[in-house]
Amino acid sequence: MVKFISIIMGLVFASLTSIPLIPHGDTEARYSSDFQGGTLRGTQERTIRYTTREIDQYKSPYGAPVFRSYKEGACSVNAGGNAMIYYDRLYDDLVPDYKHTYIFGSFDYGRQTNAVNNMFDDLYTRMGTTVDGTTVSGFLSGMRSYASSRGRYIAFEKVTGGYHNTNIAYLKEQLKKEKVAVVFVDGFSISSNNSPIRRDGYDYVLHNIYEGLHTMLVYGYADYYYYGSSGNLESRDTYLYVSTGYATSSLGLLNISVLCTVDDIYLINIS
Amino acid sequence: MASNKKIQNKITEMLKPDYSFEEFCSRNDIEYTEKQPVRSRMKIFKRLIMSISAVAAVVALCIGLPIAFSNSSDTTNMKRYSDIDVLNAVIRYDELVEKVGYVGFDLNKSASYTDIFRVMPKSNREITVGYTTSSVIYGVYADDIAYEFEFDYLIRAYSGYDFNDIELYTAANKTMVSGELNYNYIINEGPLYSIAYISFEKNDYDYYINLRGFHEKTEIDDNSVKVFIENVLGK
Repeated sequence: MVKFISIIMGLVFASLTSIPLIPHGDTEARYSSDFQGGTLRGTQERTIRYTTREIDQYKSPYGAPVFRSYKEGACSVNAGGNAMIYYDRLYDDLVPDYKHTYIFGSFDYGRQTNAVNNMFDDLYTRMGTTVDGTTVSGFLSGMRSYASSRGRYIAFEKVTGGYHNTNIAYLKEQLKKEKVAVVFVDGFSISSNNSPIRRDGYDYVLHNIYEGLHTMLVYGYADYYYYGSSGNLESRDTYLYVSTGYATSSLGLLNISVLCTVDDIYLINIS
Repeated sequence: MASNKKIQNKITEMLKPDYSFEEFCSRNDIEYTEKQPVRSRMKIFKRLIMSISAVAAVVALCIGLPIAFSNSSDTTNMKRYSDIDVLNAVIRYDELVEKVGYVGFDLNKSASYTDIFRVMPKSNREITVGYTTSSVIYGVYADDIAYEFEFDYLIRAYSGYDFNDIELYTAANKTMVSGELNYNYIINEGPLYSIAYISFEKNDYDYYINLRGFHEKTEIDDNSVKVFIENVLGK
């Protein structure tokens, strides 16, 4: 009898301990600039030798805003909020009380005012962001909800594909139409936005390497095709111009062809 | 009937020798050496161990304390922070001036900047690793030429803050002296435009400037870097 009760209690204990601690609906990855278990980070220098090279590049003439929320885990909020600021030049009511400016006759996003901070706070709530970050579904629904509250419609177009999980041809085509995109990455590197640096006979790139999940706003691309002496294509480096969300190097280049895993990428259009 | 005590005393008296223990040993040619009790030997051993431990502790403190309280950046166990380990908190310009004393340029004369942030580790928000602002736009005239600069600015307060692109500054290959300060810089030529990475030190801070032409209208070269250092920095 005692043995029987022990077996029953053992089974009850085993079933209790197998219940997941995290509710099923909350298991979607949260994108933040925090480390998610990785430890390797640092820099990597890369040199690319070539005989000739071709560059296909474009970046929005309006660049990208580099404003930041002051809250923790807010990289997706930064990316989404800066997308709203980007489109505010077309729809002035998108970010209330915010106005871009012109300096020395050139377009500029100006100061980070309370209007910008209020918009970030609103998005943080609508996206369901926590200190651990934002889920992709939370990002999409939060952006839709915000745009709708401003009387606008936001369209997301997923542009993942066969080239490093990116439909690069279509992405290029759409970026040239002055649209912006948002990229979700898991492990990535950021380089100075005038990379690759030209040296005698080769290109030099310094990669700041990060492990973990991060979200950035994309406002252009630079595709490098390197050819050898016989005219054969030896390598291809594809960068996206991004608003990094970091305190330093606020604008940078994300190389999607090396040291990077693209999880998701969406074109954003507001009408 | 005699009591047990009385019987015991009688037996003891009957067995008592007529001479002492030492005399007995002497008579029987026995050499006797008195041994210390075990407990006494343990005490000596304990004291020896305690003395050695105390000396070792003092030596460890003498060596360890200066290292623990030293501010030297050479300490190998120094906690290091990258841009993903830090958070930002907005501060006013007058607060920045009050905290660092020397800012390096007059932000009030800039055409625009995003905001000023105190940079602190996520793990310890009491510490300040630096102060930063970005997209600072500054226009100056020199020799009747208009220069339009845009730059990101970092005042590093903690040498363990390994911000993005720090290696580009440490690769500086040129120097310029202006006023009392020594400016190191490198110009990196990119596919579309060039960026100058300028750094200098003053008091307990390191200053870093990522300088480019605003909307790429001003080309960054040795001449424009000189104009920037002489007309924007050190003011």
